[in-house]
Amino acid sequence: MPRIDAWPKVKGQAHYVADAAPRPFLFGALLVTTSAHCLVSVDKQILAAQPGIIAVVDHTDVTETRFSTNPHGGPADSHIFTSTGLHPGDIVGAIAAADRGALKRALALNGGIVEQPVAAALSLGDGLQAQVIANERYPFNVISDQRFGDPPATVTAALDTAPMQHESFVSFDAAPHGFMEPVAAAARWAEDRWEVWSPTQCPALVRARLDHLFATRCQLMPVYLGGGFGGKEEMSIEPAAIVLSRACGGQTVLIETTRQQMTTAYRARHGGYIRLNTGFDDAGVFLARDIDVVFEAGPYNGHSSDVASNAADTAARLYRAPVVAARHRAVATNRMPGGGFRGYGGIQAAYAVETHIDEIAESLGLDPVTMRLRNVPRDGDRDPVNGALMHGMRGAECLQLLQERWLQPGPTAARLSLAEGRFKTGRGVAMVMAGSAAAGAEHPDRAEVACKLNPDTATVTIQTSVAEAGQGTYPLLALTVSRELALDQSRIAVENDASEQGPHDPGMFGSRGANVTGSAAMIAAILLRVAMIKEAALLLAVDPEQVEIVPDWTALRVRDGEETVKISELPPLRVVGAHETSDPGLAYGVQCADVTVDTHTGAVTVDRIIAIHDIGVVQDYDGAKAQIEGAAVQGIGAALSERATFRGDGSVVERGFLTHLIPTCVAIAPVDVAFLDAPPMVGATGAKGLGEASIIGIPAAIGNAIGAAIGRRPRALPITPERLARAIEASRAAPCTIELRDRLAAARVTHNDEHQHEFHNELR
Amino acid sequence: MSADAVPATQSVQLTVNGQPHTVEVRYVDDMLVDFLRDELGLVDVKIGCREGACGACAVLVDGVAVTSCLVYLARADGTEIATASYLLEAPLGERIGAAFVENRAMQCGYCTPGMVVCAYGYLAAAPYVDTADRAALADAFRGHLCRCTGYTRILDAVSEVAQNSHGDATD
Repeated sequence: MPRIDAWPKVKGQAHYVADAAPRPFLFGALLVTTSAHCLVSVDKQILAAQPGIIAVVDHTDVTETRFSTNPHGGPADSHIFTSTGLHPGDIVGAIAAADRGALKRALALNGGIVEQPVAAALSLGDGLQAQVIANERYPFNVISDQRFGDPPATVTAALDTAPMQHESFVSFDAAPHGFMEPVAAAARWAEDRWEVWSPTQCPALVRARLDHLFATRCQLMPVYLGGGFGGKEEMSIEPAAIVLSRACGGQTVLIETTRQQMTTAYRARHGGYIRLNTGFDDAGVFLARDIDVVFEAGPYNGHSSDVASNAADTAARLYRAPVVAARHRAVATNRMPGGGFRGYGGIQAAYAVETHIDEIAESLGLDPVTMRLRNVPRDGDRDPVNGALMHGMRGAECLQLLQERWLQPGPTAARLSLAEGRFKTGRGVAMVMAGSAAAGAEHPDRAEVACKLNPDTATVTIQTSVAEAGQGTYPLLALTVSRELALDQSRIAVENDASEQGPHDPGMFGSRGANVTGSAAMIAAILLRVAMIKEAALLLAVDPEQVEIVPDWTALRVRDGEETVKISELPPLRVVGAHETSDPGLAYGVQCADVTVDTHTGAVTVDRIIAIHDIGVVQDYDGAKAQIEGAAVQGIGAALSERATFRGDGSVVERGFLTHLIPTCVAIAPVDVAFLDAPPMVGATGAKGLGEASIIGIPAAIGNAIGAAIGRRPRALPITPERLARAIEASRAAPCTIELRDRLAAARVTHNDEHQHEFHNELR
Repeated sequence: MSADAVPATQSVQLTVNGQPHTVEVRYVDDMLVDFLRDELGLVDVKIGCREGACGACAVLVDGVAVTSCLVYLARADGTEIATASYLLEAPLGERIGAAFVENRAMQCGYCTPGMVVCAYGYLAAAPYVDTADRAALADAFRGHLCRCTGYTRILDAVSEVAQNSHGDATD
């Protein structure tokens, strides 16, 4: 079944911000800093004097208050334009020109932005040591520092009394997003309101935030998003577009960012580290788990505290243990901000936990699947995050399916001797876990979807305030409504309506679309059918129970009778379906990777990916499979090549797609996919989320596969060839053995010391 | 003021999607992609990187797929340009479009028109593509980035068109 948005996208008729902004418009650009931390001013006079420049704005043109770029809420730590640059690329102003050539020349002018650098926190180590404060809003550079689970003393005692213990430490580089559509925003004044073209994943929330910030009605115009992956789960440059348009008398201004800005200064998957300590018995059963997540946030919170929290949640929920404690921190620095990025900390968490459990399995002589089966959460377990009873836990079934269908009996992580030749192969397994709703007991997740009957054309329009960024919510909503109304998809349209009167939905994030928004659509479709039948029954003067829609959707008729009412005779109808849930809808899965490692160069080829997921009731098999195929390749990039390499001054080496290496089509691997047959456990549709689960375990599976190939699991993401070559060299010199701490011998784990040392050097 | 800041006055004639255009080049570094989008409103040409690395802005220049963000407008004098929306009206383009749709070879869709252009250029130039040679096919698309699909379905779509087009791919 083709996607409902397929043809418009093929033809280029699906309009993104820069396509949809009404022409003619003024050409806008951001004015940004280059220093990591500076007092900064814009020489507006010199810039405004350049040919073709219409307006230059900076913080002196702004009376609006500070705000949080996280549309869900958070500390108001961001200015529309700052007078203190807090990271290279921080936004200090904006400029509008009559044509691109004039804009380009003004931006190239020296002296337009005057920076006075001050001491900066230029590494995570700087942030943690807090001798330099990255953002005065955050004393000691602490953006967040929280714990959950058992008290630290309880965990320490449980770890100390466990027969065996393993500690590991994994670090992560920040990684830019690489969505194809660079962030852009346009604005114009329309009589009584601002019209805004925004690339946000959360149009309804951003509209409400803009209303509040400007104390004026703002209308978000519908646009497609050229990928989001969490990087557009923000209010970012929309306020700048409004201020710039205001300075241009309300004319339409389009601010486009550059790929360089997207790569060096926008939002990144968080760098940082995760330390795990696990106590277990000789059967490999976990007895106590201690989790410590430290992420570098950059100077602003944005999503960072939530991402660090979700990383810890994911780490905790992947495996059960009677005693679990977690701490998660987001640390302020003066480098590129971290942001939401598909997996929302889950990739880092899964990498740390899955390489950790593999090491324990190997030390005990257990195969990876058996080891995981002994620790995977089951129905009735207490959720380590919120204490709720866990249900619908199907991780064990995913593992069993993997074992039955794909894996030969016996250990799969058998280590090959390095003497065997240049190319080594290995297979790695990783569990994944993600939610299907942004919900908890105290904050239910709620979605509304409207369905409109257009009687004249006998068509249905679905209205949602969710943005379509490729994730497939619109195709899924169309499919759901099509099934419920037995109406061909060619007669269904999906419309974005983020207005105050529109159906409220917080947007696209948290893998919530299929479950929460999808359920609201199903309910809306049912309500529409009921409303149509009721109206027809009135016209036919019969009981509604006797009325049905005829299969070709031209009319409604009395069952077993002759009388009909044409759909065109019905009044226009609009119903709103709502779904609310407090259940996060945890969805487990298992991912498996086969790799070949070139031990001479450290290059890794991914030969195959296997992905088995519990996505509840499968709504659209091919759509879900497509999601996994894409996530597999994005996961390969996260595993092997995507990173921000920081210079000593806090700037980023990678400037664009020539250096920020997202996978090309030569990097792809065959992907085998299976979904569990599942009874409906969540929502109205029974669908669970997949968007994030589909990527979370890929780097971990690749890391474990490399471990199987070379006998050492890489301790840092991404696993670049140079890092791996160094690890192979070290492995040759001193084959790695995992020394588990025995209660009697009390020998410390040494597995990670070397890497930890390297990382601490980086911290310094 | 540097030399390139002096507005140029060169007049360029080119054909875009079958229509002749005469355009005054205002700045020597005016790029083809901006002319197509800003002046002609051809927003099926997308901008992803402006460094020739992503392929979103691909158009056919005299039958060859080129990233239009790297082509100076002044250098496009005398050329014939075709964008995705135009190519999709040709029989080969129709088949490519249908194959993309049937294979779900898009998610966010931002790279899709560029991919269509690349597919058209590739298949029109080499109608007898060995569809079994996946590596050769992938090689033709390595200048095009897609962040969503994982590429498999895009290559499947092109391969399918090649398979069904033997003998008439250039029509």
